[in-house]
Amino acid sequence: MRTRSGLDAVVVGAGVLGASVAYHLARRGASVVVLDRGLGGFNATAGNHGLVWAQDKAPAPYLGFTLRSIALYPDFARELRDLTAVEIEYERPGGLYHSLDDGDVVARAAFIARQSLTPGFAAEMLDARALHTLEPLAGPAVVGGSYCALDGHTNPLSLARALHAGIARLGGVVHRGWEVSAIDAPAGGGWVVKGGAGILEAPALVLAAGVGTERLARLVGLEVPVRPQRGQILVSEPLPPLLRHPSVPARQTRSGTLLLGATHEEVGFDASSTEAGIRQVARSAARCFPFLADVALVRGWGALRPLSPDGLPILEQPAGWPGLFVVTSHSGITLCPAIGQAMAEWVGAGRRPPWLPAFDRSRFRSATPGPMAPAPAGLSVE
Amino acid sequence: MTHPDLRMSPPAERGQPLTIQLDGQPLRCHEGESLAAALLASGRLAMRYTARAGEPRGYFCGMGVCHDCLVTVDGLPNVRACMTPVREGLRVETQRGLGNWGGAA
Repeated sequence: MRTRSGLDAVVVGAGVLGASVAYHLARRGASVVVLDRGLGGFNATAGNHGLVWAQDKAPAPYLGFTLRSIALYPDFARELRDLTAVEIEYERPGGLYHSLDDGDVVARAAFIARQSLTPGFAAEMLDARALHTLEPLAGPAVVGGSYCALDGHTNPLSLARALHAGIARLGGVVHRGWEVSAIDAPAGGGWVVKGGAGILEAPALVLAAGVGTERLARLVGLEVPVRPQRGQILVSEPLPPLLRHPSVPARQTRSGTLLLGATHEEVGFDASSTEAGIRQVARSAARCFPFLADVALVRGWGALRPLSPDGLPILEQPAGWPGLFVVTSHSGITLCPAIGQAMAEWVGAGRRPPWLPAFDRSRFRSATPGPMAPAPAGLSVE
Repeated sequence: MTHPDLRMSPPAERGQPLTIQLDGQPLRCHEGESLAAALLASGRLAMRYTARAGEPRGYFCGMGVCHDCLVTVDGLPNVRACMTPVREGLRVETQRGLGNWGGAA
């Protein structure tokens, strides 16, 4: 039996959330191993278009936590660049929301007004002229919208790569192709993880496997209600700088390609790309940006994002499972630094940091909607 | 400016002669030819210059996959010369970088 001892924590899931928790643990001096059954980050991490976004988030406490994460981003990007030489391409040019009819403008204004009750949040409504001044290539179908200066974007694949490299630089290990088959809780405490490549033991175990978290949690008799939601996105040929501000239908990457998003499909664990999905994404982006009709698409793909019943994160140290932590969230790109920092603090200090709002599963037991109501349907993005 | 004609001599059968505009100059070619074939037959190897290094690129795979023979056709950038049949009056420009999308605005 191969046992690696002396570990402080095992993290299951090498997507951006698991990797961020492991990275922040390693920064605190912990000895960590990250396991991923695939290559690390090929579900939600690869299947989103990299928005770091506040203006569509449900109000406080979720929005407040989001703002904290956004505030961490510039230093986070710099620190990863200094440590690993990987550039995550974080930029904060301000994000746009495009409204295609007057009714939507009214609904949007009400939503933004509600958002603005959260300290630190600011966004403004734009009429058609103001919006076209900010984004000259928006088409005539865009009748208005909103602008939030806090919004930006990053390269999710570079982010994952930077975190993996950072973990290694800080003495941690990322194992790919390592599928967990069993998890035991020995009498003396701690957790034993068994799988394809051996056995690992550590006092702390972090389950951060996105859509795979439910299966892993069941191995220790824990119910974590997370379901997969498929998002299909498209990427275009590289273009000269055309779009000034990222938005849900389209953002322009540093290399010049446009990333177009995204479907929200309830199709179980089927991550495939479909013609209908490609058409839907392309059509809604081209309604906002008519010049896209002449732009060639290079590739489209689908990926599964983890969604809890109310769309908000589950960040918990369940009572009765000492040393076990559950970390799963939609919007993992936006929340990457804050969740990593908060959970590393929690694992290290044994207590939920006071600045981390409660995101535990007890909220699902109450049938009445609480203050953490989800964002309006179709608005929740990464 | 006159171009060489690198086409095989008869008895190869060709379509009707026609004229396209290459960087503002007339270029004689034949119906049924691809733009890439017509440019090659005129001795032209470079169809575009890359965005970062400004290096010449041309006909590579010849079947629409490699996206190396991109030219600007009738004002639209990133058109694959190998997949575009010639027709009378077509305006072709050597593309520099990612192309001029200003007309899209």
